[in-house]
Amino acid sequence: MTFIKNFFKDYFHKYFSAKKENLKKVRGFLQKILNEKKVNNKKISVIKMCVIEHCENIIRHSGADGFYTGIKIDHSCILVKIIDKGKKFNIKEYKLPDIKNRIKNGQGGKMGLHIILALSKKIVYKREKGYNINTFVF
Amino acid sequence: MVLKINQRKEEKVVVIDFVGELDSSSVSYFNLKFDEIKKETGGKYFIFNLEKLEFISSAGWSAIVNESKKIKDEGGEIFLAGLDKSAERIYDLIGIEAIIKKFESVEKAKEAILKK
Repeated sequence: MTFIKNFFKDYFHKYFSAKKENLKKVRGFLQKILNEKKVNNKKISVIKMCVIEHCENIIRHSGADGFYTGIKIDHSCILVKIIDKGKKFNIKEYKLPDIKNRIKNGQGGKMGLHIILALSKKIVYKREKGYNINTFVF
Repeated sequence: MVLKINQRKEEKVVVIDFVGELDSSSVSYFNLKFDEIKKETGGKYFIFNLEKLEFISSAGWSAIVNESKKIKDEGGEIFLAGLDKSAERIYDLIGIEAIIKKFESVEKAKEAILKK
């Protein structure tokens, strides 16, 4: 698909169907590329954490059949782009709940977005031709 | 199998060893297995040994927080041990310490429980 390919110029990228069982494959894909590029373990763990949280949200809430995950290593930063054709969702427009209060009351849930926002340096969101295009900067 | 869970009862403590990865693909296995362990052992105090857990997502943390609440309501407690740096970062970030105490090792967690 040319539309998708254009977004992934200079990125290593792969398509995953939206199944929980594929989360391990996503981690494996990221780990392989980041190891090859000699990225340090701390950064790898941060990237895997954020990406998996985002992919879990796509699988559980977006209604998309699958998603493309791409990774590009620049001199100064690492970019991860994730594209899905699910419901429109811009993380930065979402009002986050008071997570610490929820946990005090023994309630799980709603932690993923909090983790993504805390661990990524920047998130750029676009909606084009029915696709959510998220670029995470690390 | 993404996740394996083994259990051992030591004095009044049930130690549960997690091996593998805990994310939304393995949460239902964790819930099922932990229910079995609770019934089987009748335990009140549990140490979740995460030393061999390679990855945990927020879905995994949510499941642990939910179980911790249930156990506390029944008069017991869950403790965590052996977190790696990555798990520790998330533990601190989302404030899990408000409901579950963590220890460096299973032995240290056990000492704290036996003093109760």
